[in-house]
Parts: sequence; C-alpha cells; structure tokens
Amino acid sequence: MKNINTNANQHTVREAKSSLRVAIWSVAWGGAVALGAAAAMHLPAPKLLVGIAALIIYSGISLGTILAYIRWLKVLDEMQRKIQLETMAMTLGALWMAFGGLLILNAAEIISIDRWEVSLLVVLSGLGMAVGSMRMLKS
Amino acid sequence: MKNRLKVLRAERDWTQADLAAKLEVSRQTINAIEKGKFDPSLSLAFKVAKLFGLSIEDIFQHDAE
Repeated sequence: MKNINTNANQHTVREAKSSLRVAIWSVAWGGAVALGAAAAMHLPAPKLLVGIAALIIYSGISLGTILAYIRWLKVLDEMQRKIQLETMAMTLGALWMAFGGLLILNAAEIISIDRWEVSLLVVLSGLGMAVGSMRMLKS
Repeated sequence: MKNRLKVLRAERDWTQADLAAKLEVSRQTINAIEKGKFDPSLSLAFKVAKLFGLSIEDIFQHDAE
C-alpha cells in the first residue's frame, strides 16, 4: 500500500510541478509583452534597439513557454491529453473565428483594428484554454 | 463501451487512487473509465487486463449500436 501511495504521490507531484512551470512561464510570457511594449514606448533609448532587444527576450520566453507546455503534456495521461487536444482545437477554432470576424468588420469599416482588438484575441485564447482545462478537473 | 472495472476494483478493496497508481494514470481517468465517459486505449486496456489477470473481453464489453 505504501508503494502504491508513493507512486500516486510521485505522479501527482510531477504533474503539479509541470503545471506550476507552465503557469510561471505563461505569466513571464504575458509580462514580456507588457514590459517590452512599455520599454519601447518609455525608455530613453533608440526605439529600434529597445524593440529588437524586447523581441529577442520575448521570443526566448515564448520558446520556454512552449517547451514547458510540451513537457506538461507528456506528464499527462491519455484522457488528460485527449481533453487538452480538444481544448486546443476549440481555442484555435475560436481564435480563427474571432480573427476572421475582426477582419470582416474592419473591411466593412464597422470597427478599426488596433492593439485593443488584437489583445482581445490573447484574452480569448486564455479563456478557451481555461474553459477547456476545467473539463479535466471536473472528470 | 461497458466495463467491470468498478466491480473488479471493489473486489480487491482498492480505491480509485490505488488503481490509478498501479496503472500510472490519474484518478480522474479511472473515474471517467468506470463511468463510461472515456474509453481507454488498447495499451491501457491490456495493462488493466494484465493487472486483474483477465482478458480484455472479460473486463470491457463493446456496445453494439
């Protein structure tokens, strides 16, 4: 029985650690966007230099987030992976729908796409992943 | 797909967490299989069968619709 509990704990601990890593990388990712944009606007340095430096840091953090997410997927079991696959499909579909909708509205001159609308797409993807992942907790 | 996982587990006095640890899956997955919400892969079905010392057909029955 002790061995069973140890195995269960190891699985849970591995999953929790991977989840925490994904959360930390995701926060860093969001922070890199905000700080990069703020630095380009407010730092008293050439915008091109700051912009390129921010882009390099952002790209590194993005890569780290993707790798952390892949590692997390590998820790999950087959049902959890299936739920995540459906979640990703749902999120990607919602993003395409929203992006296409924005393009149509922009072409019809009903709205004018700016940073605000584009940032909503990021929020939408976060919501999609959150809603999808809740199914994993409910099962 | 129907299965006898809950009965077999109860016969051995195992909790869902015990079975999950033996099969190296999450407890949620065991719960979903028992409730018929999730059909396991062939690999996991073989693992379950081996654990209980039965054939796959003894544990899982396909629902012909």
